[in-house]
Amino acid sequence: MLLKLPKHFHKKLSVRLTVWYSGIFILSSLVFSVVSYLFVFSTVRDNRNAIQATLSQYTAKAEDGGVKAVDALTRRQRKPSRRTSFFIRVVGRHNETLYLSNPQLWEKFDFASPSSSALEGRWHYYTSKRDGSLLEVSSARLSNGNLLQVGKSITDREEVLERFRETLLATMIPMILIGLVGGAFLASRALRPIRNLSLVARSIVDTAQFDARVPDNRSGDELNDLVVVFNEMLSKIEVLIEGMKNALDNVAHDLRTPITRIRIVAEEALDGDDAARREALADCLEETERLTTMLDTLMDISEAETGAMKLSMEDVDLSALIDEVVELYHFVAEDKGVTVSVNSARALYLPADRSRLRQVIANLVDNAIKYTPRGGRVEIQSLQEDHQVVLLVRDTGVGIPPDEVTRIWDRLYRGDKSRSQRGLGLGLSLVKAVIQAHQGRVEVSTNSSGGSRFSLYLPLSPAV
Amino acid sequence: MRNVSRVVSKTMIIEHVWGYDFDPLTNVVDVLVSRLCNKVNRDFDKKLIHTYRGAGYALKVT
Repeated sequence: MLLKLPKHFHKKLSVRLTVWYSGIFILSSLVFSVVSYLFVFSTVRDNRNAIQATLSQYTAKAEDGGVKAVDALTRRQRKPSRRTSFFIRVVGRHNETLYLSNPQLWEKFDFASPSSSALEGRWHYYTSKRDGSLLEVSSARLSNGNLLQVGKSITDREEVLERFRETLLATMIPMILIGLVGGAFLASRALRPIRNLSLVARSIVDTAQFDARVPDNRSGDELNDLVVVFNEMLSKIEVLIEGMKNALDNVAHDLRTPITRIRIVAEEALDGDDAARREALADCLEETERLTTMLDTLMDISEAETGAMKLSMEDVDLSALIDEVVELYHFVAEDKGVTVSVNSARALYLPADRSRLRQVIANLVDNAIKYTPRGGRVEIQSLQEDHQVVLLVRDTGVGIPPDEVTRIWDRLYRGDKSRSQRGLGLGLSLVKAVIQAHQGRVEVSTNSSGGSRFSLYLPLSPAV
Repeated sequence: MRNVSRVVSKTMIIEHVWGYDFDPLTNVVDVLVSRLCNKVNRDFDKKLIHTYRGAGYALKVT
C-alpha cells in the first residue's frame, strides 16, 4: 500500500530537514558501528600474528632438534587450555599425525583433509567434530619433508564477531526509527514559527485584517527575531494604513466642504441679479483657487513623504534665504504690527533644494506672523551645530496648547486658535515632509513667553 | 503695462516678480497690492488698480 503524499511533499522544508537529519544520524551511527567492528576485528586478528611468531619459533626448534625439541617446548606451557594454548602438530608426508601437542584438546578435530601439500604456507581452519568450534592453523614445510602446524582456537573470536554483527543488525531498525522520528520532531519544532508566520500572512492576505500577530515564543533565536520583526512590520503597516485612511477621510471631508459651498453659491446666483451673480462667481473662483492650492499641497506632501519628491540639491546659503523670505514678508509684518528680526551671523551653506527650503521658511514665517498679535515679535535664528544646521523661528504669539502639539503636523489639522485664520492646515505638514525628505527633523516647543518655537535641523552633508 | 485692462492672477504676479510660486505667498501679494492701491488710487477719482475678488487684479482707466 502506498501512502498518499501531499503535492510538493518532497519540497517541504520539514520533510527535507527530516530526511537530512535522519540521513546524517543513521550514517554517523553506521560509521561508528563499522569503525568499532573493525576495531574489535583487528584486536582479535592479532591472533594470526601470534600464530605466525610461534610458527617460526617452533620451525627453528624442529629444524634443530626434531619432534622432541618441539615437544619439550610445548611442555613448557603451563595449564593447557583450548583458549590460550597453541595447537602444535607435525604432519608426515601422507597426512599422518607425527606429533600433537596436548592431544586432549585437539584430538577431536578432523584432520583428514586436506592433504599436507595443500596446507603449506596457507591459513586453514579445522572444525571440531564434537562442538563445531574452529581452529585457525598456519603450516610450514620442514626441511625433512614434514609439515609443522601451529594454530589457535578462534571460536571465541568468531562468536564475538558474530554477536557483534547480530547486535548491529538488531540496532539498525531502532536506529533508523529514532532518526526518522527525531528528525521529524525536531524539524516540526524548529519550523513552528515559520508555520505560524505563514498562517498569519495567509490570513492577512485572505481577510485584509492587519491586526493579526504571530505568536511570539520569546526564545530569542533567529526565527523568533524574524517573528518579532514581522510583527513590528505589521504594526507599522497597520499604523500607516490607518493614517492613510484618516488622511483620505480628512481630504474627502475637506474637499466636500468647499465644493458644497460652491454649489450653494452657484444655486443662489441662478435667482439673483447681475451684481449678485458677479459676487457669486468671485466666490466660486476663490473657492476653486483654494481647492487647487489644497490639492497641490497635498500632492507635494505625499510626494515628500513617500520620497517621490524631486529635490534639486545644491549648496544653499541658509542665511541669505532667510533674508530673502523676511524681505518678502516685510510689508505683511509691518501691516500686522509685528517685528521680525533675523539673527544669523554668517553665510551657512548646506545642501538643499532652494525653492523647497524657501517654501519651508516662508511657511514658518507666515505662521509666526499670523499667530502673533500686534506689537509682538518674531525672531529667526540660524546657527551651525556639529554636523547640522539649526533654524529657529520663535514668536511671542498665541502658542500651541499642549494637547495640540503632537497634532499640528497632521494634514488638514487646524488647532482651535487657528480656525479663525485663513489657511489650509497643510503648511506644517509640508514643512515636516520637506525637511524629512532632506534627512532633517523638526521640533516644536513653547517659549517662556507663551509663543511657539519651531526648530529645524538639517544635515550639513547629504546623508548617503 | 503689457497687461493693461487685463486681469492678472496673484499666481501670475508672484511668478513674474519673484520667479517662483508657493502657497503662503498669496498673502504677501495681497498686502503688497493693497499698499500699491493706497498710493495709486487714493485721492483720485479715476481708479487705476482694480481688484477682482477671486480672479486677481487689473490695471486700467475707467
